[in-house]
Formats: sequence, C-alpha cells, structure tokens
Amino acid sequence: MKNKIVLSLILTFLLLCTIASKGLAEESQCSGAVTVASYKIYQPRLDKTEILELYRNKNTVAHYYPKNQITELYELNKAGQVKLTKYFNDHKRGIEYQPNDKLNNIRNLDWAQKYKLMGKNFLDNASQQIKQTNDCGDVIAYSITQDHNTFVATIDTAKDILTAFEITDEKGNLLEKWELQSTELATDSSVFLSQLNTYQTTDYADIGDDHTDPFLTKMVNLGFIEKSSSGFYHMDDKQQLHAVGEHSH
Amino acid sequence: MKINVAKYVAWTGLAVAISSASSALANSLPEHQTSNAWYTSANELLMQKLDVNNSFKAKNVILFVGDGMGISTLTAARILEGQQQDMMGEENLLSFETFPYSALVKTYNVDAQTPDSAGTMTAMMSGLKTDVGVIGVDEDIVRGDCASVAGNEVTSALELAEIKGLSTGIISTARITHATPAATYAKSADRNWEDISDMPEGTTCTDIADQLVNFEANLEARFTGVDVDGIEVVFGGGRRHFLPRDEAFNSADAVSSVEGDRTDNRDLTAEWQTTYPQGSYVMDQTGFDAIDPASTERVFGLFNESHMQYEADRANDIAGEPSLTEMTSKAIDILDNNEKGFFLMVESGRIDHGHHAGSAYGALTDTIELSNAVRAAMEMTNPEETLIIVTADHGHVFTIAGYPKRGNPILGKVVNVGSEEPATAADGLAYTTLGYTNGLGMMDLGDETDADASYAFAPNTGRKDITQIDTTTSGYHQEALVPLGSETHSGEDISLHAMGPGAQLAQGNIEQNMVFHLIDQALNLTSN
Repeated sequence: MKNKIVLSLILTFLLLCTIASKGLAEESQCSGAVTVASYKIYQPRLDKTEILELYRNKNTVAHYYPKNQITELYELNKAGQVKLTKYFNDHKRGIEYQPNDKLNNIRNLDWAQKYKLMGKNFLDNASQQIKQTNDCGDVIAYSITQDHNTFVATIDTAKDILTAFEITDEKGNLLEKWELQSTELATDSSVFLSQLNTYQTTDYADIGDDHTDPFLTKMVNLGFIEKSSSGFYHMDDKQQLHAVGEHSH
Repeated sequence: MKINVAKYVAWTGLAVAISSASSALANSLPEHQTSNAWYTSANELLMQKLDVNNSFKAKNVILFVGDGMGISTLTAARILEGQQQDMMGEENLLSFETFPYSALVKTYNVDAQTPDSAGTMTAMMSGLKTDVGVIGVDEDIVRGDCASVAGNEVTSALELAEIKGLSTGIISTARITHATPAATYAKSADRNWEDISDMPEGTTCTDIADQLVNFEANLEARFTGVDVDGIEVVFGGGRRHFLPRDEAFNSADAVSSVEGDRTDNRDLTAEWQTTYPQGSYVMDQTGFDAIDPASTERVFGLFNESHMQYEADRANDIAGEPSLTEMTSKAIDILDNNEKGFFLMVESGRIDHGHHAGSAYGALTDTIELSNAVRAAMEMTNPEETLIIVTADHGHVFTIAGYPKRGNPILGKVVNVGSEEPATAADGLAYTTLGYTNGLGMMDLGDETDADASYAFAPNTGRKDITQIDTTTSGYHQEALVPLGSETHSGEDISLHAMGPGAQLAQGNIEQNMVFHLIDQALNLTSN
C-alpha cells in the first residue's frame, strides 16, 4: 500500500512535470516578438528591388538599408514621442532629429509604423481576415482599397511581425511587394543597436552652424542627404506613406 | 586732457549762434509741423540725449547675445511684438532698442567672410578676432589640432571678472557647451568637442563640458597665485555632454533611450556637486523654482538633453524648463549678492536655430523673449552701476521684402498700400514679406511650435502657391531660393545696444572684438 502511494505520488509528480514542461515549451515558442527581420521590397514598374533589415527591441527600432548604408533609428521615449536619428553607417555618423510632438498623422510619430512597419491608421481601418490560427496567435491579413489601389498587409500576431505586403492596382497589377525573407540575421538586435550608439551624432539644428566638417558640409551642400539613399524609401512622401501602410482615409 | 581755449570759445560762440538761428527757424516752422507727434517725440528724445552720461565705470556688466539676431530680425521682431499688442507694429521698439547708445558691428572671422558663433564670441569675450570654429584661442590655432591649443589660449572677460573677485554667470537656451557660452570659459581647437566622445581618439585635450565643471581649478592652474571661487550661475541645456553613455544615468525628461554621450563613464554633474557641496544642481522647472536666490551660493542648471526648447514650444517640454526671462532674473538675484559686483552673459541661442530651420516665427518669438529678459534685467539693476550690452554674433539670410502697407501682418503675405488683397509676383503667385535666401524652403506645418520639425522633410525651395495657406501660423516656414539642408548665416553687420556706465563708448562701426574692450573698460578688468 505504502509503495502504491509512493508510486502514485511519483507518477503525479512526473505528470505535473510533463505538463509544466509542455507549458514552458509552448510559452517559449510563443515568447516575444521577432527582434530581427529582413525584407525584400520589389517594385515591378521600376524593376527595383531593395532590402530592408529591421532591428527592434521594446522602445527602439532600426530600419537598415544595406544598399545605401543608411539606418533610421526610432526611439519611443517616456512622453510617447518618437525620436529619429539617421545614421550613415559607412561614415559612422548620425544626424539627430527632434522628437515631434504635434505632427499627428505625419511620419515620425506613429510608433506602430516604425515597429510593425504598418501604421496605426492603416491597421485600425483595414478589414481583417484571419488566414491562420495557432496556439500562439493568428496570421491576419489587413486590407484596404483606396484610390483604385488595394493594400494588403499580412501580420503574424504571435511574432508581432509583418510577413507580407502588397499593393495592386484596380486591374490586379502588382505595384509593390514586400516579402519577409528571414527572422534570423548575422547580427542580433542588441549588437546592431549598440553599435549605432557608438557613432558620433549631430543635432540637425547644429548642422547650419558648421561648414567645415566634410560630412556636415555634404549635408548642407547636397541638401537633404536622404535623397541619395534607397530609391523606394525616398520617393515623395505620398508614395512613401503608401509603401509603409500609412495611408489614411 | 588739454583744451584749446580759443577754439572752445570760438566753437561755443558758433554753437550759440547756431542755436539762436535754429530757435528762430523753429519759430518760423508751421505749427502743424512742430506739433506733429513724429516731430515732438524725436525732439524729446534729442533732449534726453543731450543729458549725456559721463560715467564710465560699472559695478556690473550684463552681456546679452542674440545668436543669429541680425538687424532684419530685430525689425521683424519689433513689428511682430507690436502687432501682438494690437499696435500697427512698425512704431514699436524692443526693450533694448530704447537704449541710448548703439553701434554697428563687423562680424567676420579672421579666416571667414561669413562667421560662426565660435569665432565671433571668442572675439567678444577675449578682445581679438580668431578663426571660425574655434573657442578661446587665437588665430594661430589649427582647427581640430589639439597640439596647437597650448600657447594660443586667450583669457576671457568672464575669467578676468572671476580673478577680480566678481560673481559670474552664464546662461544659454542652447547647450551650455555650445559655441557662444563655451567661449566664456573654454579653450578648444574645435567647437564640436563638447564631450569626450566628440574628440579624436587618444587626444590629450580636455572636452568643453569637462572644462566648465573644472573651470575654477583650470583657471587657478593657468594663473599662479590666483584664487577664484568659480562660476556661480550656470543655466542652459546640454545634459548629454555631462552624463555617461549609460541608460542608468538618464534624467526624467530624456528624449533618447540613452541620454548621456560621455564615453569615459564620468558623471560630471556628480563631480560638480562634489566640488561644490553647497551648490544646487537642478534639471527641471520644479528644481529651478525651488532655488532661493537669497540663500543660494551657486547653481548648475541643465534643463534639456540637448538645446532647450524654443520659447514657442517650451510648454511641450517633458519635465518643464524655465524661460530666458526667468533664468536671467534668477541669475541676477543670485549674482547681486556679491557686493563687488558681477559679470553675466546671457545667450538667446535658439534665434539662430529658428532661422536655420527656416522658421521666422521661431526666430522672432525667441527674439521677443530675449527682449523680455533684457527688460527684466533693466528693472532689476541700477542703471548707474550696471552696463547692459545687447548684441548678436552674426546675422542670417533673412529678408523683409516687397512693399507691404503699414500694419500688414509681418508674418503675412504682402498686401500693397491701398489694397486689401495679397500682391502677386510676376509668376502670378502671392508672396510673404519675410523670406530666406537659402534653406529648406516653404513648409506648412500648421500649429507646430517646434521650428526644427521642418528637418523631417525634404527641401521645398523655390516659389510655391501659398494662396490657401495661413502664413502667420507658428508652423509656417518661409520660402527660400537656394536649396540647402539648413539656412545659413549672413556676413552683414549686426547691431550693438548699450546702456549704463561706459555705454557711451558704443558708437560708430566697430570690429566685434571691441565688445571685450567695452566690458574691460567698464569693469577695469585688465587695469587697476
């Protein structure tokens, strides 16, 4: 009898351990958002392909464009402001922008646009269709048709990551396509973000004061240096906003 | 001074004759002319000026510097201030424009036709012109070459005031390590060496923030036998240059995830507190308000991670920060505890930034706040013992153009005399009175009050259709011709305004380094 009780206790313990273990494993599979991701962005009409690498933690997001060696770092501060620093990786230099606190619906304020790559306005107003369900969350397609174009963004809610994005015209012709290529990159998020923090930065407000620094002189002489960076990301604002799902009704 | 009596009598006689003749002529002027308000007010001012100030020595000197506050900025700011007070505007005067003495100032640096703040402020503080981009050193410096600093350092009026036993203070709405305030206390081969992370690897030079915190020891080391007590009042922005690059040191209103920039793991605010245990370090409006000037011996206030806010945007600061007027008043209240007197430098640093961003509204509202700060200083000091100088370091490519009618909103579109509709140019489009020769160009950012918001957008230079845009809003940025990432300084003369003992020496068209000599003369800094 005593042995049976002991055996029963052992079995119960093992069962509980198994359940707990399974629970932990599932929790592990579901734990947290993706911190790095790589996208291929294709614009067939321009026959242009760009790569965007995304690095993020809770309050910091970096959009890195390898082709042009430019990184846009967004920081969400305690006051809910989004602060942009634009890094020129080849130069190991950065330009700091003031956090914007009043420019509602204008870029640099919408944290979702930086973190998820899809603006809050888009996500709030798009029709939703669950494409897939698993233990950790859903894969949801968000869709909006505006100005004869249809925008469809697919988001894996478990990983809090955009997995695909397409813009098509009224005839169904593809205008732009984003593909999630990888969520594992050579550099992890913390290393990449820490590296940026070592680069020398200059307040944009100070650029006009100093015409002897070759880097800053280039900024002044060439105007907005952003124009020389990736083609897709630096078209006019309207197209850019569409490209990142920030269009509004 | 020898007086040639014969000449004196001859001139006096001539003067009396002219005076009599003038009086006779005045009596023959029509009454509608002599009773005209323009006529009488000018005549009254002339009578006031005849009451000449013959006092040359001052107990205190306050130097106000409007960074980038060129003459067109003064004109536009006085009109804006007047119109904000329901006047037509043009007849208004900023507080310091009522000063009895003024001069035009040539601003060029030794190696630059159009100057920067580092070279110009070094000239004003040390009595000699130097190169663009360097702080507290003469023209023999090689910019960016640490080794060339030794032997080329110059001594500033603030340092001389310290040695003389006066209390000293510096205030800036820019970073306190920025070029203008730095030229009062630092020696640097590059204005950008604000903290150690900005300097070349392996440098033996000391960064600007370090020089501020260790000002007292550094000055005593340079002058054998000198015992000074350090700068009593420091108010400004630029906390990042005093804190280690470590999130654990973030302040309550940090806007970056890691606020500090220092790579030597030093917390200079803590070091300052250790050096001056009786001093108060403050970083927000609450801390500032808690300072009791009567009992405070010294204070170190760093109110922002980088530059302080534009006056128009100050309410949006996370932790709150004082205005330039509040800082000036508090500083005078503390500094005047010293019976020997004081020297105070006050910089309105963001007039310059407003212009760089192409925002006349930002630049002009900060100019008006500078005027308020000067007014506070005038009210708090005795004009018989305090020399107040208000000047700029350089101008901007900022113009007041077209033929707008009297009282036309200075931020508005040009409406010609006799018309109610905006005038149009040869391209058929309306245009504003204010504009820039270069910069980012027109932007309509609505009620945005942070002038720097324009930097988030690509340049939009050239002529634009502004028919439907309200150009008087805080978020409107004026048109510009030449596309640049940031609007530039100008090379034209700026003005200097002075009142108090020694102010009468401010006249004519002077080199900028003359400012130091005006201060020196008034305070006897280099002579007994």
